[in-house]
Amino acid sequence: MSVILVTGICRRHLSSIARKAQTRALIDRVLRVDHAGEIGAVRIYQGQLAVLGRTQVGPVIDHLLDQERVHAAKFEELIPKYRARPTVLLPVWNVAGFLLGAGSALLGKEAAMACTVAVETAIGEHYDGQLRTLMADGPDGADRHKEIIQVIKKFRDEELDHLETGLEHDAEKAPLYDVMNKTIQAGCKVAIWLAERV
Amino acid sequence: MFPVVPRGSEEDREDQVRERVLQSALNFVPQHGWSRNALIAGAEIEGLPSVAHGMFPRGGIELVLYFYASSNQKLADMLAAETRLSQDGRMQKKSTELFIRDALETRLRMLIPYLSKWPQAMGLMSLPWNAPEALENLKTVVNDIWFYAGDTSVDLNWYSKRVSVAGVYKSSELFMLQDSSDDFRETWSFMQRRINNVMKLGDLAGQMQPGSIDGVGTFMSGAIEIVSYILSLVPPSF
Repeated sequence: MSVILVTGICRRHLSSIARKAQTRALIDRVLRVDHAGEIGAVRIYQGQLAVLGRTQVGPVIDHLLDQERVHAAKFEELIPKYRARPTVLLPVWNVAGFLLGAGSALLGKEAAMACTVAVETAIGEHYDGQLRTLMADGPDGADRHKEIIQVIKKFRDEELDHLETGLEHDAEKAPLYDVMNKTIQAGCKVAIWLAERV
Repeated sequence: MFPVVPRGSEEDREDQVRERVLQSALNFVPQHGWSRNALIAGAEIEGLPSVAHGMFPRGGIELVLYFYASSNQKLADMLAAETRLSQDGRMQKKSTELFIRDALETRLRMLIPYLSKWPQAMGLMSLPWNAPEALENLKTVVNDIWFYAGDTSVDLNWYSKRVSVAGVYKSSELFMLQDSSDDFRETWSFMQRRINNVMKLGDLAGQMQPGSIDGVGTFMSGAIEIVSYILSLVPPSF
């Protein structure tokens, strides 16, 4: 009995059931928002292609689109595997992504690239944040979430390549580059916040 | 004093003691209902003082939620085993419809020992402050069923599939409370008819082309039918 009393004074830790539930909620959130984000990205590039498909940047955007398709497909595989709930706002991301892509492309190829830079910056930061959270999930977080961490790392690097591609194609020469960059990044953050939750 | 000293951290031990009391208390539900008295009786059987029901400050609902969650777990384990067997080829793979039907029947059968007191449990679960957890439990059971049925949808189908199975489950559960037929025969045929409704609805939704209005009326009346079963506004037809 005295042993029980002594341990009772010690700092309270979560019981293993509560910890499991926490980890599960974390994975659920991570996969839902990433899937939504990649679907959004696919739609952005599709929107840009609808306008710029026949110009000289067409093949560049086409390449970006192909990679985003692979990313989205990967999360579509992981969601059922880890039993995460897909976002209910999928139709919204479908429309919003396409409009953002087509809208920016209508302002010219530089604006389209500026949009890419802004989106990929936000996504890069977002993936970095997720990697930190996953690794900090318990003492063995890096090990337990190995598969997801590897996927996110790879995708983050590819998204940052996209950012480079955007800069190489004169993103900074877009009209009102700074305003556009800030606005789109803010929009992405709101979208991320929403997609994590619903 | 604890008859068996459980291992693990203090919180894990606490969980284990709680679970033992809850498990024993279930035996007293037919007699005392989903109540503090059942918890007291359970604690006493486990060799704890009767004040141990203080571990369950919310009273009977904790027993209901435990029963719900542990039955869900039992079903999930059974479905997992069944899926393994059919993957190994040792059992023939059932059609999705049959898999879901059987899973629902198995889950509903778990209520039979407590059926006379189940309306009380449903009442407790529908109280606003308990409803979120009760809904979580319902979500778990339909999610488990679809997962083991091999569902891989990642769009809005994910939701519609779960809502329709939840509707079948809840309406059959309500029907079961009133069913006095031998081995709940009426309940199973009621459930089959609800499943047929859902399948019909799914087919229609699949047939509907964007822009066509053929079938919208049938689709809507089917949808309203399902929703009304869920809300149980209309007595089910035989």
